[in-house]
Amino acid sequence: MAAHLKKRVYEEFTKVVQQQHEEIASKKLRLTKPSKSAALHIDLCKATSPADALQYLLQFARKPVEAESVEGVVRILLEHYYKENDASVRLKIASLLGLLSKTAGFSPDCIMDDAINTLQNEKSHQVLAQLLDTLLAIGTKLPENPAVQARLIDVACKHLTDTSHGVRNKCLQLLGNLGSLEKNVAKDTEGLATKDVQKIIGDYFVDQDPRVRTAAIKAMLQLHERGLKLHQTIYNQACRLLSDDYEQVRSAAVQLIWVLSQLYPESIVPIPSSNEEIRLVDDAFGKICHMVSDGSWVVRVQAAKLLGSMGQVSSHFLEQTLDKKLMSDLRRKRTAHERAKELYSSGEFSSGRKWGDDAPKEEIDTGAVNLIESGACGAFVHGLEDEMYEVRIAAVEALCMLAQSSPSFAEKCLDFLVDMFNDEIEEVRLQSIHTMRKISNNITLREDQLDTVLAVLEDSSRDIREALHELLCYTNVSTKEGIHLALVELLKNLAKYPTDRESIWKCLKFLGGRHPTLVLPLVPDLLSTHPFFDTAEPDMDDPAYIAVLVLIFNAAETCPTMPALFSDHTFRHYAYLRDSLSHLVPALRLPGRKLLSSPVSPSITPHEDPSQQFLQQSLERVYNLQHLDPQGTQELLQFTIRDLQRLGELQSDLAGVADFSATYLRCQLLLIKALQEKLWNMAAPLYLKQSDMASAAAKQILEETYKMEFMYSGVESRQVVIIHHMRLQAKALQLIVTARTTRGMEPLFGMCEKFLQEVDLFQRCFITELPHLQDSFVDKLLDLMPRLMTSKPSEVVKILQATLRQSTFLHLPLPEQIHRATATIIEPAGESDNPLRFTSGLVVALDVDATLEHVQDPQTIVKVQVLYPDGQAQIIHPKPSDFRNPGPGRHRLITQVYLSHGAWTEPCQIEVRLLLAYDSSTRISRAACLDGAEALPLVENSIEGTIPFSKPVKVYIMPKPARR
Amino acid sequence: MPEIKVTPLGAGQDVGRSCILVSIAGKNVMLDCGMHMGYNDDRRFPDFSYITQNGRLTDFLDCVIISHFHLDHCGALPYFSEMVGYDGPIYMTHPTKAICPILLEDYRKITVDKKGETNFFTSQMIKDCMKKVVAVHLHQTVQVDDELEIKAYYAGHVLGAAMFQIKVGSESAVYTGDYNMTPDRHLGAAWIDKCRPNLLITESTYATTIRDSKRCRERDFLKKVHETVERGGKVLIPVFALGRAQELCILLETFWERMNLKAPIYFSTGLTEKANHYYKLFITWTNQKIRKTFVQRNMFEFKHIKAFDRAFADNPGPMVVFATPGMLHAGQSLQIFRKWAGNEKNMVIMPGYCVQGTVGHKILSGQRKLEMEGRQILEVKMQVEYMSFSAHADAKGIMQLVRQAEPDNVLLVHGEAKKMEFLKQKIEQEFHVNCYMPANGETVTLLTHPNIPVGISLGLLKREMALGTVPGGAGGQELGCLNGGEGKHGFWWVRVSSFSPHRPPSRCQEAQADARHADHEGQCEWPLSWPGPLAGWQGTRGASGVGWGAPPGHLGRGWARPWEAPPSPDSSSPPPRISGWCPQSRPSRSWAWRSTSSASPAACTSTTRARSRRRSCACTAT
Repeated sequence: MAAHLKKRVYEEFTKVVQQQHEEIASKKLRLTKPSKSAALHIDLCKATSPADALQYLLQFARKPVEAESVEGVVRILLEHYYKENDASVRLKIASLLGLLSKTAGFSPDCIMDDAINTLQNEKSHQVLAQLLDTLLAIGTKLPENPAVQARLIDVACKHLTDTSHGVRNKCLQLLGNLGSLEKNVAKDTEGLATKDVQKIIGDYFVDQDPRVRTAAIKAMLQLHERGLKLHQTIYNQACRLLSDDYEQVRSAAVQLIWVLSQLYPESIVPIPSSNEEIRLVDDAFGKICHMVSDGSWVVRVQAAKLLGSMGQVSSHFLEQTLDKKLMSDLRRKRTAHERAKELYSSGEFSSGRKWGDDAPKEEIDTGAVNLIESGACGAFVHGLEDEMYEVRIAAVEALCMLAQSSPSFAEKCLDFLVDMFNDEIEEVRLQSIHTMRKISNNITLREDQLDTVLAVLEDSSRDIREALHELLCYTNVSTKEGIHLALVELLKNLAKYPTDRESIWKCLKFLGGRHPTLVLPLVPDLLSTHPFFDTAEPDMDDPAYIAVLVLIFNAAETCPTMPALFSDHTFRHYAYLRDSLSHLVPALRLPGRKLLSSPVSPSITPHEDPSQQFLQQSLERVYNLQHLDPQGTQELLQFTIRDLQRLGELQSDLAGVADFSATYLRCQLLLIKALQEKLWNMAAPLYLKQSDMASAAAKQILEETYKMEFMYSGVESRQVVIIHHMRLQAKALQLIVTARTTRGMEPLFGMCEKFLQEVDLFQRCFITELPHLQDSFVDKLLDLMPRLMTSKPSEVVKILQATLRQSTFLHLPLPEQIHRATATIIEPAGESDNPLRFTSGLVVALDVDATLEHVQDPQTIVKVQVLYPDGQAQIIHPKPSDFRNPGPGRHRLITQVYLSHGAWTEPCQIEVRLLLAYDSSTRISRAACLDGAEALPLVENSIEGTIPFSKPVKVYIMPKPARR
Repeated sequence: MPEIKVTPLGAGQDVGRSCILVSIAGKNVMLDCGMHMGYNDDRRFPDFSYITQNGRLTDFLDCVIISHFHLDHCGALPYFSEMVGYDGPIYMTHPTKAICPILLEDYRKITVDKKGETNFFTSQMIKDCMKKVVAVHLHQTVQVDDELEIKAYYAGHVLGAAMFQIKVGSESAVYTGDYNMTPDRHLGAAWIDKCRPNLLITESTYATTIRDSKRCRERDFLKKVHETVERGGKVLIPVFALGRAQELCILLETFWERMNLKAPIYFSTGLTEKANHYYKLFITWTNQKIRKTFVQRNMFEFKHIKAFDRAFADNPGPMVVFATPGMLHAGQSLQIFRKWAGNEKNMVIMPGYCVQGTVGHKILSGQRKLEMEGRQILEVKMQVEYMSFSAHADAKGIMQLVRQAEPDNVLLVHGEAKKMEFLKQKIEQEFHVNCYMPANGETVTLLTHPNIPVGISLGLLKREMALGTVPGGAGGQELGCLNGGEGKHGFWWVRVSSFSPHRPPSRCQEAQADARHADHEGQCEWPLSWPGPLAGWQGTRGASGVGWGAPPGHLGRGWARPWEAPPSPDSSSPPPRISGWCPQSRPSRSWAWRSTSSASPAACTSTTRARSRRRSCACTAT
């Protein structure tokens, strides 16, 4: 406590001092505004003590310096540098030089000579190191100048023999960052013997300071990153570093070995103690495996991670990683895994009763037992048993990557992954379940493994259970008992956690679909039908019964003999479920019944999809209309919109495209309608009421354009142009309406100017796309731009009105893949009649669970909105950790929303919905960047808003008055 | 000749009664002071008369170190300190100090109250003994006296178990106690840095076993318990009060939490409650998971595990009960067993080894009808399961520790001779170090080659450094003793530099050594062999090696003891020849003298002896 207080006292003390200085400085700066360098010069001259000078420099460092004045500042700093006796001030100046040379738009080659000169006379090691750092900054700014690089490398080599580790570190860093990539170039420029950067750096692998050794390895890795091919000779040196005393050295060495193994996988290296030879990648793999049992967990994590990316290793070595020869009292013992497998293959279930069950069998030749294997033996066994969960996670990840590339390894590692399902840390369990899902196409679960997997279904963590359901969707089960077991366990899970309903049904859907032949013999049992007697009809609303039916119906889809086993009520239930849960129950070909499925059978979809054609045709029809009478146009648009909407509902894979086009057409329709209004023909100014329709249309178009821009994923820049074009038209419409309804010109000036600015911005942003916009509103407008700039607002409005009417309808090209962002709130379900009671003024937490589809980066853009009955609305930002990513394009939001309100007399409903927040500047600037245009002053133009994208859910709440 | 001598008084080629005497550079240390489970006579305690027959132990021992609280490692401590008489410091870790008296008291109660023995230590003696204990923290270097220092490393095994490094000057030994290289549900894995001791004394309980992954065992255990509970059966788990019991509790507790199970778990009260309290306190000694989550909830504050009452055994419905003792030979566990044995829905899980003759052993070997006292026949219908949860390192683990510590010699204790033989052979084969396995009372003597500190002025050193950068080594004359003419500069510290003499002696070196003969001659006589038990354990208190460069006063201290005659100045033993200092040492043991780059003063202050040896490996290889 005392120490803490003391610390605080010091902190405050230093703060006071700084404030004083700042005041003085700000005065100075105002007085000497014209030149920054001059101000600095004065300041530094004034400084009486090194501490003072340091203060000035610190303040100076806080403010940015323009590119033009950098050189002057540098000169002044250097001047002071030569005069300065205090090492700390020199150090600060050196670091400032480095900072300044990084300034954009400043070419630092002019200060390089000075920096190198100062280097020669410097005595202090710290300042030397800092100066070398400055040189590094200069060197990285001038990557295309080989002469400079060669010179810097020369300097670095010269200082490599310095006694301070800091200086040597920096030199190595310099070499790593600037070492020449092509030797020929270096030869030409230097004229002397080529400096072999790798050789020089390699010499420092055996430096006596561990920090320097680390720096040397890092420099080597840096060279590799820059594209220099490392020599294979380093490999031996790197291997020796693996047994270094210092963890950072070992950690870096592991990386280096990995890099080399990727570079020279096929070259042959000898095994030290014997005269055998193996591939380098195998040798490196063995060495890295060895590091999995290192003393430092940092190294262990590093090693375990890198193992995963060594795909070229031969399978013989790979399989050793899972091998740990067990013995007991010098006799060979089988692992539990082997025993389980044996029991399984012999057709017995594990008795587990006898304690001699695991009794060791054959004797082991003592000479043959190798306790510390040089190879990869048991690396993963150790990694998965590690104390630190970081290592275990890394090991699981590595297993996953290796198993994905090698099916035989996948089969072998299964037992170990299944074991990880019981890890004590949830993260590890989750990770291993995900891993298993990823490799599930390579594996078939044995019954005993399935048993272990299913045991986890009772886990109280929802994430774990859902991950497991997901896993079961993709799992291959080998026997009908397996299916039965899975079903039983899932039903148990359902009984224990009723909220898992949806996820379990979905899981059973896939399970049934994947194993129709295994389900078939189970059907009579599952439906509890009897050959002679009618059994009672099960309750149709029982989630467990539905679960069973989902399994059976999905299996029946590819197994035509199955429906024969159904009883009458099963058919009835089928019809009901097909309607109510159509996403879970497929269409079946039932005997003696009309085919209930939609005309599109899966066999034709891949080729020419009629609905796709229909979509294309209806859109083409709309785009072709040019000279139809207004009435006809409107009608055609209306019909097309209706068609598209219906199509979207029917065909889920076309929903995005259909909706997107329909929205666009709706905008067009609104625009046409607004322009068709009679009121335009009246010369007199209009009342606000009369123009209601037009202004509402303008507003709606604006909204729709934002939706189009931000709610759909896969929108490309070509669509963005058209969306923006539509928005521009809406703004023009708004301007016209305002002009017609307001008296006086004053407000119009501003509006006109703003509109013209926007046109200008549009032009700048989408300059590359302009050729596509022939004959459009903007095209015409840009032609008239000079005239518009000079004319009065009233005239501008007139021109706009004319152009708007004459402009043609732009064809909206459809992108390849377009998906509409959707959200479904699963919880709260909005069905409860029991109000959520809480004391007014306090908060109550409401669990919100929603699935999001096709939302990019939901962490930043998805918000939860709560609407209270009094109109009060709150927007809540969920934490990034509340979002899970169960699959590509899908997200899941599980969060808590805090509600609070004053006391109510009776319970009332609040609305909860999800919003998509957008910021118009982001996309434009992105587009601008693409076009290579310089950054525009977009900030003031950016419009932030939100789009509701889920159905609102009503929650019944009741804040009670607090009891006194 | 500087040497390390080791004599096991217990645990030499045997399990139980751990007690090892180590004499290192004139310091005598006793490692562990345990009792033997297998004996009830005098053999249960180590034979302390080996150390001295008449005379106080305190004079012969510099300190006693206890590695952990198991009785075979600390059971003889009150007898040793109070009844035989020892007043010197006893070192143990904080948790051991806290839990050890509970176990000792328990042990005393059983021996005195139950078995009716007399002439046993009393409760007061335990208390008095514990007053002599100095508690140490992990990785804390404790200065026992001016020269001897000890340091504890984490050992896993049980709460508070530690490995100890004993160091005098540059000579050191590491005693592992019992340790576990794989983490379990409540403790982490043993860890040691590359301390490169001269000697590593390691346990070797599982010298010939390589174990399966722990996960399978855990899973099996949980599955069996879960199934029985789901069936509505009762599960009895007989345990010893400390150690495995806590691990199993954590295991079941987390499983209950995870699976949302409701069946009650009971823990028989008494001893365990006190112990659990200490587990809660010493949370820093547990594994990563418990350490990280204790802010939210201390894992040892069990939510599902409650104290057991005798009446609960008759409650209907499923339950899990942990009861002592572990071998079902008496007490609560046996009572419950008798109640539940008749129902085939119930289950008993034996988590450890059972001694022959106990009920536990009988049922494990498949006996279904047991004869209880009073001629009653008890039919065992309940399921009997065996689960081995052991917290010792297996052969691989031992090898891993040896690799981590990189010792010069290894000595095996705490294991069976036959199994040790195998491991010894393996260690010698894989690491190319000597390995010993003395029986009780047998002495192992190791030669060491300690560094000799040499004072040198910083100025001279710096000058030499500057000269040393010139290739050719012409400048190295005065400092020949440091670089030995092999390279440009030697290995040194700024304040006290040290060099090891076991290199081919150079001219300068010999000169140096001769110059010191005057100092040295008087002290070079020391007993070379370990005296047998009859002679009494004469502490070989010598200045063997430590004192070469040290000031004379420093050296003399060791001899100023009453029981040892000061060496006569006109001793006839010849002064040690320099050549004698460098016996056939392995090449990697010699210092390497770098010849390429110069070392900076700043860098060298941070160098250690270990570092330079690392260097040497690198150099000899190039």
